[in-house]
Amino acid sequence: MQPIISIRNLRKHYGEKEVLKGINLEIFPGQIIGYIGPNGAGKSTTVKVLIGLLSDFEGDVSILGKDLRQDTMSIKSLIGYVPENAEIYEVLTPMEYLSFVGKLYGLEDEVIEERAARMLQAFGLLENKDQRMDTFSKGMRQKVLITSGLLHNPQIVILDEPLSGLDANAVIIVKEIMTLLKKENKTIFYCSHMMDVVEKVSDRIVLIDEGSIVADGTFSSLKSSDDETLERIFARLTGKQQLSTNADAFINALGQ
Amino acid sequence: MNKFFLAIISLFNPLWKRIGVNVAQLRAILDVKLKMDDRRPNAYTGMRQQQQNKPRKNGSWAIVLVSLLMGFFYLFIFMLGTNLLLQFFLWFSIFMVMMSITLISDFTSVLIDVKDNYVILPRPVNDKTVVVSRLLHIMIHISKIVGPLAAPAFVYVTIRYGIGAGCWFGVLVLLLSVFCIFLINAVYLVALKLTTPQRFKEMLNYLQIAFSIIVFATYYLAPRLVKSTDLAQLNLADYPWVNIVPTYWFARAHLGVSGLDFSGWNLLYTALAILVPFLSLWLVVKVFAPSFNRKLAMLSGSEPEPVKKEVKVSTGKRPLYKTLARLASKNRLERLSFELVWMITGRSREFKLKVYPSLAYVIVYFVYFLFSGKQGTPGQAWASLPETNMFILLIYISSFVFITAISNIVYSDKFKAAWVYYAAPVERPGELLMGAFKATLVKFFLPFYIFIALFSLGVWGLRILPDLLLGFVNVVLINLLFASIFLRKLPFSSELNIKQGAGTFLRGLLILAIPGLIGFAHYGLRFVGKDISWAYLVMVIIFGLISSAVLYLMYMRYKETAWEKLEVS
Repeated sequence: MQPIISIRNLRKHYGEKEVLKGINLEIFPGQIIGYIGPNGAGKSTTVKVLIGLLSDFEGDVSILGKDLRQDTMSIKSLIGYVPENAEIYEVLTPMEYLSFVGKLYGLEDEVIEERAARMLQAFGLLENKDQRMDTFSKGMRQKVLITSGLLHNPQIVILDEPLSGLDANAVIIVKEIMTLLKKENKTIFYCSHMMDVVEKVSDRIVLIDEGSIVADGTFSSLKSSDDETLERIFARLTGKQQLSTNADAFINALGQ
Repeated sequence: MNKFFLAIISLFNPLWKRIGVNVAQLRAILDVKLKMDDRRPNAYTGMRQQQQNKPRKNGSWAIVLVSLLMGFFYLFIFMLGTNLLLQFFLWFSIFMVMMSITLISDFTSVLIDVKDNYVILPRPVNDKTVVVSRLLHIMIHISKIVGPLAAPAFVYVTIRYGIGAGCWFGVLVLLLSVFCIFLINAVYLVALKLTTPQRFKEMLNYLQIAFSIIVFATYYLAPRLVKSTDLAQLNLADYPWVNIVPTYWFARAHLGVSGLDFSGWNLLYTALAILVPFLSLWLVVKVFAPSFNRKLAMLSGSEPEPVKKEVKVSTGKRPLYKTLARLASKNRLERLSFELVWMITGRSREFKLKVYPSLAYVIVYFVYFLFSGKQGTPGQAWASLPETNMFILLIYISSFVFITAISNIVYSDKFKAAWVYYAAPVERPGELLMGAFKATLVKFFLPFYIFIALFSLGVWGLRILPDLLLGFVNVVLINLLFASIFLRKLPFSSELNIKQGAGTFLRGLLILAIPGLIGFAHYGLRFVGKDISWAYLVMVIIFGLISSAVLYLMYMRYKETAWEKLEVS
């Protein structure tokens, strides 16, 4: 089977600093990849390369066999991206924003209108569709953002901390959406710090630390014992086993 | 208005297509960008604190109207004397300065939208579409300013000198605008080369402040200066350096062509006026734009700025504000609030943007009052200053500086962070208020008063020292009064756009009435002791004692302010 995403020896420098030190990854359709790592490990840089924001990297990235740097436009239309930090034009209304994004993907007005309305309704935002988003809560913005990432029915969905700010009900919906997307053979690239969620939804977990992949496999293959959680694995592999010592030090600071 | 611009742009659709732009995307991007411009505060609408419950809708119209107003205002230049060259030179210069400053300060929101990186760039939009949409966006934005700004002068020139001259004038204005864009690009590039993007954004804020001050100052001071100066008699030919000022070329070009005077010099200037903008346009498109876009991408922070781990080595020296806080109070809560207010007012861009222009307004008023005497020119007014009692006015006006600062201290973008006061076991919030009051007093009022005192001593001599001292006690008392009126909320605990309710008018009156009243009382003293110098001194001392007593009482009461007395925000 042809990998949908293939990354070979991806390197990226920011000035002197090497952020990605040779990433190799082959991702197949219908997989949910949990992409995890400590802060500053190079997660978001990888994402920026994948969505075509950074082009000055070394190595090869191809999507569906097409080189990312050659066919940037057609690859971008295959990808749906949900950025973290609710990056959105919040002076617009959800409908205005979604129709804008839809048009950038070349969707027809009626299609946008219909899809957006139905997707917003599913999120319970239909009655807010003509209000400006600057009054929205973070969760509401996140819902619009997720909608905008999926509006054009992408083959690959890149989610960066998609659950932040969502309430428990919405979290269930989004998780369910991911499973349904997977059933349609879509590929999901899921970046998050919430280990328990990653543990549950991912088919394959990729852990990077300081610009290199330190673990890659299914959750069960990463476990060293039966009852080890992903959180533990994370701590073990990123070399921070003395975490409980840190906690002790923290509490001890309150003083004797 | 946006529809109109979009329609005009779509007229050129074949052209866009030919250079490889996706027309549908272009339209979508511009549509959204213009919509957002309408809803976002800009240099004109954003510089004053606007209390509005309605969402902003027609920002563009505000720009157009203000520009138009300014355009009318600058017509006064054509009333200056009879020297046409001078008139046009001044008009072009002012036009250029105004336009450059407006654009530079507005460009942050127009050009540097951080979110573009996340919203537009991940989508399948090609580079040409992005660049063209950006350029067109800028052009639309500029025409919203340039059009109305130049319109009154255009009409004037057309009526006065005929349609031909008017049209030529219009062409020159366009050329000058192109030149301005070049200048602004250059400023941006140089600035980005010299400083980090973060600092640059900060600098832009100061520019915005400068902008609002210039606007304000022109309104107040220009008519006075114009009435009296010898500007009208100025002969530009006496100053060889004007030959290298671009606006001088434009003025010459205008007069040369519309007067059909094609002497060698005029031809040269006309050629310069036409060629230089085109050259600069070429530079912008070919040389600047590419590196500019790269820089902009950097500005948007796609390059992560690593958090520096190194902690500043503490030199053992206590920072100034901590020393001041210690001097200002023994009370720990007061000190804490003093330090907090000191730090936040120094670091919050939002606060600076609101308060510093207002501080400058006070200074402008100052100059205005100083020179608004009945006696002729500013020079004469200045010469006769020592005979007046103007210093009393100066003393009491200084309280306005404090008012501006104190009335803004309760507001913050991050007003929710004030939960910490409510969560912490604070017994009497009055102590926090007092700390905030003292910090404001020391930071914003004291330097100002010292300046006034030195200035006044310089002009009027040592004899007014008692007045300055009495004035100081009085003004501090006035300030405390204001604090107890305005500072009824904890510092930085309130959202700005909440409407302040009905008390605003009354408060506005108080602002004028209190310093006025006390100032008049002080002024009255000067007549009491006119003949006998010691009587005057005694009066001043008595007045000072009364004021001090009231001050003390107020101080104790304010410090004791209880939770129940706080206004709920």
